[in-house]
Amino acid sequence: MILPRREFLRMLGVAAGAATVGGCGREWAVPDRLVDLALRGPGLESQAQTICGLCEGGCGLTVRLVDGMPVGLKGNPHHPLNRGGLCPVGQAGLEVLYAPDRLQGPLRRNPAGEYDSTSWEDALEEIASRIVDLVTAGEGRRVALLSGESGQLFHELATRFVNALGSPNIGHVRDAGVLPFALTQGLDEIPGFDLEQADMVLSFGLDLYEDGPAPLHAISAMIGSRPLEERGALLHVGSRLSPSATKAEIFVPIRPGSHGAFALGVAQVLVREGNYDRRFVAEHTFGFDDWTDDTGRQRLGFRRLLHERYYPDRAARLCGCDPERIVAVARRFAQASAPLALAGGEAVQGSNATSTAVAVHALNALSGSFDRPGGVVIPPSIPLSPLEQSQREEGPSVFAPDGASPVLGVDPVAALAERVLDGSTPIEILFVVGANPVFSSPIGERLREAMKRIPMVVVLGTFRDETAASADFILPTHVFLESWQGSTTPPTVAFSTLGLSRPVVEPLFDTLHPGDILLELSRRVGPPAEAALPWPGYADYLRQRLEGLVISGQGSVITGTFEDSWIHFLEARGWRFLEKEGLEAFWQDLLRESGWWNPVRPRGDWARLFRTSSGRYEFFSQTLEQRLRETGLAEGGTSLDEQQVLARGIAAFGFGVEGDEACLPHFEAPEEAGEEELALVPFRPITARGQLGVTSPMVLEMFGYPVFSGWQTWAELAPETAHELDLEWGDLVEVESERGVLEAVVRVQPGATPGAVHIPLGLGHRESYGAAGGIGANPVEILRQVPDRLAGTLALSSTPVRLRLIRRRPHGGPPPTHGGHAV
Amino acid sequence: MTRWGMAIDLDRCTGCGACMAACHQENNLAAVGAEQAEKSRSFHWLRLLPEVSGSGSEVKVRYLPQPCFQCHNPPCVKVCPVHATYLSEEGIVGQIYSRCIGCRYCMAACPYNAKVFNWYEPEWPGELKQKVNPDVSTRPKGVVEKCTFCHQRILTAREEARAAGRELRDGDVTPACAESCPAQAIVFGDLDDPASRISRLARSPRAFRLYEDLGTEPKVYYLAEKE
Repeated sequence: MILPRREFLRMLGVAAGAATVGGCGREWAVPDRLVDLALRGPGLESQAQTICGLCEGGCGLTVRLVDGMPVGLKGNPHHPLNRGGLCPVGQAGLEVLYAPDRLQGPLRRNPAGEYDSTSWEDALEEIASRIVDLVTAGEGRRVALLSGESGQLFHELATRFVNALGSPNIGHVRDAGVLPFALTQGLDEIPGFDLEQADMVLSFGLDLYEDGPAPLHAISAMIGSRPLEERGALLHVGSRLSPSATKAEIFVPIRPGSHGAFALGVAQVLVREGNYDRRFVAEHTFGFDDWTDDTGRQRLGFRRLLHERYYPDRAARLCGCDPERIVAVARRFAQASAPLALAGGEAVQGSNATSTAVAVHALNALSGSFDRPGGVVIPPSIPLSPLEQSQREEGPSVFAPDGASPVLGVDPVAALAERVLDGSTPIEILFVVGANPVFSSPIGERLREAMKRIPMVVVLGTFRDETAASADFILPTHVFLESWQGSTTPPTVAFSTLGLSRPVVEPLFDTLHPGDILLELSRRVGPPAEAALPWPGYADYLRQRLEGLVISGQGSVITGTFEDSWIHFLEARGWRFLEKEGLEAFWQDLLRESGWWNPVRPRGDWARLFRTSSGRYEFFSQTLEQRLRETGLAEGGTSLDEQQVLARGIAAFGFGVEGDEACLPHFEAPEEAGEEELALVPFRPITARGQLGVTSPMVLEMFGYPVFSGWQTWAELAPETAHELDLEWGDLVEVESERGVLEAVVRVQPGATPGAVHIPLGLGHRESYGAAGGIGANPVEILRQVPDRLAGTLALSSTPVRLRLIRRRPHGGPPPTHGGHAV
Repeated sequence: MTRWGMAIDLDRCTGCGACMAACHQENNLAAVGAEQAEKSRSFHWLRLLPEVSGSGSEVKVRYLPQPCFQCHNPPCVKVCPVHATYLSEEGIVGQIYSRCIGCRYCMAACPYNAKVFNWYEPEWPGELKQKVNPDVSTRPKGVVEKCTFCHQRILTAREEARAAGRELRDGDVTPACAESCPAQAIVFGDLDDPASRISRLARSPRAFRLYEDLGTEPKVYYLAEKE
């Protein structure tokens, strides 16, 4: 490094704590090491609180800084979500920040298809002028924005941006997880599950402690925050003995995709043995017993359906397990005083995902687990300051074309790709923010083609990933430690939180926050965008929205953990948390503690919990019946009678059942693998949380730690299946579906269901992606494109595959153990 | 005299891997990369080992987070030809990197596979070296390294206690693995202090140690799952 001598001496002076006066100001060639040493300074340590931005979980982080540079991360012990714990991906936060191959400045594709560096000024000016052209021509609706950013705050800003241009095209690549709760409870958001006070979780396919929206919260709530000799019980029904499933008191291996049948079998046993909450069922549910509709026709009740169709013998046959196991699980479930049934992971990624989740949720209704400690609750809403009214563009968008109501959705990525490819919705400018759908969606290949037809694709991200590879502009964004963040309650959490963090470190490269990019674009576009988004920066936007928290007087800045009894006392008495002297003091507190939370839930507000037309939990979903009827009418015209219309609707949805059963919790068969085929079940290990985790070398090194696997994709087989195929631990195999082939290393895992092959998601990046470029394989690439029959989202586990040996395990001893128990 | 020990509650541990990652970050373990990993050269100071019992539908698997057990009677110390590994006064098995000649006798002697060999100079591509924890030295290539019970944290805690003019208290020292555990399954402390949490847990009927029959007397106790 070439430095002026004076500058070097000044640095040394700081380092040594001595005053040195420099001389003649000539330049010195100083060894980098010395500069480093000098720059390292006096070694002053400090701490800052922030929120992890690597997945939607929103855990609290404490950053350890030495002379202002972060050198360590740990969980914030005061944060109500994780209470001090931090998952492997969160631990890798600094490795993501400093990851090799991070985008260092804006890139623009030249006519030859190569990327040239450009300046923010030029890039934003060009994009803005294109937007202005469209808006002036009255074609603002040709702008679309697809976001993968979690939390409501950014999404609302992005929606406002797109709407202000006159476009309804705002989409989010999230799970359709809300649909089961829309059908049964009439909700438009996923409810909270009070894990902290539940004494048992019956999990269907959900790796509770690794997967789902907030696994660290699940661990802390079920185990970490409880006294030494206590923890919440877990029962697990699924096709893979995951680390989380090993914690289950009872683990039942079942055929992939048959979770719904198991849940209904359990329901039947509960009802038959009288182990259900009669009062709740009588007062707050609809369709449990046979009922008569307005036309006087007798309708099928849930109870009769269970007895006729889901007795344990039949349910067990559908799941490929012993009926005794269903009875055992049901009796154990009935013993619990505050049980919860949760579906997730493999259970909700097949073509029968929504039906499965509805069947599982019925168990919560039978046990009356609503609006009580340890039950299903609606977390208090976060009192953000409302935004001033601005232009709203309703109606069909490219992500949710005509007819698709929020109740029965479509896959936003698939809709975009198809609409652009068939030319029905021309898009001129597509923004992709914080998402990599080309990599993560089964329809990624089609999307890539569609993107070629869009004149201007702008990708905002941290790496030059698969989606960025088709972009005209790649705009680099901050990593969470460099930026302002406001993260709202992760789905399924029972209380509300708002995580706020400010930049902990100066941006390493020439990057911007996605929010600031949208605000700057609005300024350049001018009115009406500028008027709708008047904030100078994203931080100003956050501050304005968060003022609502202090004005409302609800909740509190995170101040440590409360005893449950204390909260109950306050709940009973009505309370206001520590009042602040003015907004500024509140804002400073909020920044220092990195967040706000509100654990107080209003009780007995049934209208908020059940927003269905009956005002009750609907075993018989009238919303679904209405949709089936509408679909039937559209299909068959008006000449049909009631039942025929319904039958048409049911046929259009491709249900495997008839009549009233379609609207009740029921089992839809998954796609079955044929002879000599295995069912491919992708799963998300904890090391694959979020998109960016795998850019860290450490995360890759420990990627498959439960099976001694790193830097590679593996395929888990049950011992029986491996034996049948003559495969052993460490063999390299080809996994082939009708759509493609990938290579994986065999791991023989006891406990898995025979006939299934489990492959982790997260690897297989073909483009440069931190340390993960070119590592492993992406199972999404070989998936069939089968939608969930109700939600329309593309299924992840409905693909039959064949395995073919490429080569035996090349070298090395048996997998490491501590000596006595070879795996 | 202090005798450091650890208890790991298998009833609470969910096998999430947080401890493993925290150890990597705290102790500056560099990743070896895809090519070396395939040759089984990746290393962790703390691993999660699956233990399988039963078979078929009755199979049981549990994960044992395994740091160095800091044996009271460490076989690795006895075989070291250059006295590079030793048992400290406080019961921690130390490794003097500048003495180690990389013969790996100690690795062979350790019945728990707790020691690892540094095949390469630790490397952090690009800017990654900036995140190195300044409290822990990086190791040169060709030496054996191991879990130290985060002794740098013990030193810091002791300094802080001294500065505050008091004795070290139970709970003052938390190794990185214990700190990161969302299930609070790892307890660390002084086994010689009969009032400490660790010594109470070590006397629990659920407590066991691996291969007690070898006479190594590990100072890491596992607490068995409850039935």
